[in-house]
Amino acid sequence: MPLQLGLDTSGPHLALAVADDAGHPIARRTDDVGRGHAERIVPTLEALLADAGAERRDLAAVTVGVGPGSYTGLRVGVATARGLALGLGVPLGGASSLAPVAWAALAPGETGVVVRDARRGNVYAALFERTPDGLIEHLPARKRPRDAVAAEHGDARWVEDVPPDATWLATRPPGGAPPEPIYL
Amino acid sequence: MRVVLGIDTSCDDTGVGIVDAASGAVLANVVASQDAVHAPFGGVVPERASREHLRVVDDVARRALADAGATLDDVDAVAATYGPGLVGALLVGLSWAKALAWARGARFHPVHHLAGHLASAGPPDPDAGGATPPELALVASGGHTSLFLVDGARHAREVGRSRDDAAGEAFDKVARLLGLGFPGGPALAALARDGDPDAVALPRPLRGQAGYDFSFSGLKTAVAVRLERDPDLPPADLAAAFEATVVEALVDTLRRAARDHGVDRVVVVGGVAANAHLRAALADTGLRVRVPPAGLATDNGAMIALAAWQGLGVTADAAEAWTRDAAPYLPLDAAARAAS
Repeated sequence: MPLQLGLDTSGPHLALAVADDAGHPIARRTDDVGRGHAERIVPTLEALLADAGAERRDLAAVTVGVGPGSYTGLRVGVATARGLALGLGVPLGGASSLAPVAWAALAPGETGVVVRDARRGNVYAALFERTPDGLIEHLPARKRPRDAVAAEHGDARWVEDVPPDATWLATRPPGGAPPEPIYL
Repeated sequence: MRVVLGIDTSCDDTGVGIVDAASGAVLANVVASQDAVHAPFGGVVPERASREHLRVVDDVARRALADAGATLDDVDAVAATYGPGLVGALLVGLSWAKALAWARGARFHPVHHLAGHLASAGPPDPDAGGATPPELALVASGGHTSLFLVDGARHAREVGRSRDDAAGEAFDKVARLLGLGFPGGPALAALARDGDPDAVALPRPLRGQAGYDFSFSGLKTAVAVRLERDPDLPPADLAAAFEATVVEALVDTLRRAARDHGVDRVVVVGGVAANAHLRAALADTGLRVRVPPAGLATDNGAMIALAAWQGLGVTADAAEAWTRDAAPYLPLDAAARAAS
């Protein structure tokens, strides 16, 4: 059973998911690990595959969240994704780390501004619309003052501190450009 | 062919080495230097180091495997430095190596950076009875200056360390004072060849101490003060005097520690072990001195694979190895106690 792995470590959560090659979600884990991504990632990956009734050789593609978010967390995720893709000999891709949050938070037809604290009064913010088929990113992630984002997107739903759903990453078209962390 | 792949990303160089799992021979040792990344800043910028490791790690590993004539199918075990070092830089190599090992179904060994340096010169020759003799190990690099007593079971106990700058760091800082750029250690040593070490008097650090510590920060300041007072001092003489003082401090302390501990074997590892003056002074001590082969003195991945192969500080608890986190501050003997 060829599976795609989605992986995001850009926030306090370790978010992992697998989907089959038709894009159907098979299993996911979203654990609040604080700064413990490097400690938890391999055991959580094994638990995820056990949930899915799969083995590591079933992994046929890897897509990783490339941020924006914690630089340290991003490095753990992207380095892990690179090691997995190299070791398994499978395609590797990257995608926004705010999209899995939008996927978890928004209902079909809903538009939301996904924000993540970026310290000193700033947030990382992106505007997403959930459609019946997926997500549309109306505004890509930027780092801006929290007040300015709130004033600008008063009509959209404010999405903050919602755990990501890595299923969104696991259902991206496999491969693409090598993942480069977004350092905003 | 079965191989151990080792990676070190503890500071500013991305190193991947390949060691033959049967013989322990180093088959490949690729180091991607970040000197060009950090030179404009006059020192290592941790954030840039982390980014650069992540950018090049796959390519460095592919080159190492190609150099060794090996493929990923040959990888039996993967070893990675987990500390000490820059935490962001460590996390890149550690996370990448865990994932690679897991993906290959290979074993994973977290390795202490200094255990890697200790392994770089190989184990000591057995004594007449066939046992592994105790020895003193001096680690002198840009990040560390420590003296260890290594017993016959290859357990290391720190008996001395730098109280401030590492020896290699002092070379780099004095090189900068002399306008030699970054990292200037090798350039400083080259300049010192043409100088007279007796032309400039510099204070000998920690002269008369009972212990085996080192200190290089005051020496660096003494060079700065001399330069300020007398800008026309020939730089070669100053470089030669500085180098001679560092070498004297290292060798005298090593000789005294060897006498006090009743050992006649020493191993000198780390980037400063490549210094020609130090090697010459060591040869004059009458001690049995080992140094790492060329290319294994400075930070590299092969020494991490060698430590795993020699079993230096390697945990027997495979499940714990997968959960090992990066440890930016980590004395070697504390790490060994935790592993045993």
